[in-house]
Amino acid sequence: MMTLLTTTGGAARMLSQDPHGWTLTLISIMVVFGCLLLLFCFYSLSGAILSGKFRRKAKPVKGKTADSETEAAIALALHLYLCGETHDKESGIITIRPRQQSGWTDKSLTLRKTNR
Amino acid sequence: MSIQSEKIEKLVRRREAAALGGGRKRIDAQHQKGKLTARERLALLLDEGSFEEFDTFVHHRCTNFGMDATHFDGDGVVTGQGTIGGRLVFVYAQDFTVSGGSLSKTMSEKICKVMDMAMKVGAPCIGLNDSGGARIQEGIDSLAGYGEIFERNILSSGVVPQISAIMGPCAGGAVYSPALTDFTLMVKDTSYMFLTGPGVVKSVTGEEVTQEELGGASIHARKSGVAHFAADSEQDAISTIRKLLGFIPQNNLETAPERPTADPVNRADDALDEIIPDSPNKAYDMRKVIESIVDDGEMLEIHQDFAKNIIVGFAHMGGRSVGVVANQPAVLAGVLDINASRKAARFVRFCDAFNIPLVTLVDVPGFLCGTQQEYGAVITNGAKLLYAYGEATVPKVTVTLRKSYGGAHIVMSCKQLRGDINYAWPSASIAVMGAEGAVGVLYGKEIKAESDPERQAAIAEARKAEYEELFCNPYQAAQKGYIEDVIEPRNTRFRIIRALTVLDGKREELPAKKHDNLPL
Repeated sequence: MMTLLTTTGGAARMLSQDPHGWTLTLISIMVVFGCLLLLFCFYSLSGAILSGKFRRKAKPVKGKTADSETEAAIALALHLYLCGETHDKESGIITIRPRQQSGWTDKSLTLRKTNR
Repeated sequence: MSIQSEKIEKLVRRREAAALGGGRKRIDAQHQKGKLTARERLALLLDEGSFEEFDTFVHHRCTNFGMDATHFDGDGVVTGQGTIGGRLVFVYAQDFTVSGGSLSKTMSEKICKVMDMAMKVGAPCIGLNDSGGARIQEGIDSLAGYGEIFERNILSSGVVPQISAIMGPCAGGAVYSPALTDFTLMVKDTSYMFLTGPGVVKSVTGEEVTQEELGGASIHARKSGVAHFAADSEQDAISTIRKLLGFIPQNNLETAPERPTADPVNRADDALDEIIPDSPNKAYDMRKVIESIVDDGEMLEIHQDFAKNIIVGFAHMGGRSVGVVANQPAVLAGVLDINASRKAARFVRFCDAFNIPLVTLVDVPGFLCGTQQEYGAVITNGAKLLYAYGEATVPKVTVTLRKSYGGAHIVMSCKQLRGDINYAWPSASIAVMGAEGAVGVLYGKEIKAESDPERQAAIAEARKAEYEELFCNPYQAAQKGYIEDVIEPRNTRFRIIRALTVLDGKREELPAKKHDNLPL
């Protein structure tokens, strides 16, 4: 089988030009690493695309700029929207007036009466 | 969004849903009937921002008749605490949009909770009733629920003020809670109270009657006296509750809040010197006297359309809250009858329970006679007022303006019923009976002995003049010390306010007993 291979066209030429097989080895290594490089590029690119690296940056508005209070309001609104903060409403005021001193608040009336 | 934020959002959403009660559709139906929702009523009643709701998320626990498939947060009643004029009150408002406001065990538990808190803290309890009655699906649990509420009404009676406002139907056993409270308000055209409805009345007695005719606000305010106030609208009723609270204390160990006034204590009114007509048989309006002597002429009259021959109500004198009881000569000559006695007795006992001094203005010719009164137990009912005055230990200031005859004189806070300070106007006539009647009794034989009618009239006139000279004046009573002084009418306001100031420190006790046996 080896004799048959080495006496036909391409193989014979290769044998005569590269008797030790350095060229084939080099080509093989180049193919493998080439494929690995391709795979690396493919995965890197798809990862970058999915993480939004190539999204367009907003162009700076020319002319008017928001003042600090407006910026703070926008930031708060965004924070509330994005972080989903809703609160239970409370009036925040205590309307009860101080009560008059009377027998009702006399603590001595609540003491136990023990038999002597 | 974090998990905690989600939970808070859920709370907020659920609270918003609970606030809708039975839903938007039912709220609209309520409005179409001219009625407010429970929460709208509370928003009007209480100071802004003061209301704290309890038990918002309570559900009923009934599983009969598929009830477990439907739940509404709150189960048909809104309960909690708030303030009125800065004063703490506990409230409950039945929500007609949820199951017709029908009472379940859990609704009862919610109401009982605020009543218990009112008793613990010593604050008034106000109920806004709008209910279709017991929730039939709950069976005996709903009856037990009513029982729990009634028992608390009883235990709270005389400890903390209780006010009921009927804002819709209140039928069957449910009527007993308002009946046990201190004051009941009804709203004309949209509220009614009766034990049995027109349908049952027709089937049992054959009588055809409408809901309004059977138990409407006007009927109870005028005929039965079950309602103390009949308001034109819900807003009016709520405004009356707020006004009423201004005269009464938080509990039975406190005094009502003082109301500063620019009205001078020593304001004299010359019109009072001329208000009593020269003829003893001519009427005048006692309201004019009351308006003259109280601060700023303002009085909140209770039971205005019931037993109009006696006037009862709250006013301020020298800034302090007082209960005013006055015979009204413009109606039935100011006689006492069954209804007037009941009306005044309940009012006097309320004032006594809550440390409100009593100011009594007397112009009473006696008790109304006749079989209707006697068969209706005018004796027992008159005794109620007598008992109420005799038992009361609050300061009692009495002014006799004109007539004060017989048993009615005794009943109307006389000296012997531990009246503290008793005054009389110079026009007062304090006697066993009027001159006409007395002459008939004392000199009847002498007059009949004369055959000539002219001679008879002359003798009668002479004896009448003699009797009037001797008895129809305040001086017999003054000589015996049964009144402290005879005062000029224009000075009445000053004398009463000074008397009340003197009596501020009054302490009086009753014999120890389990409770009285008031003639009921």
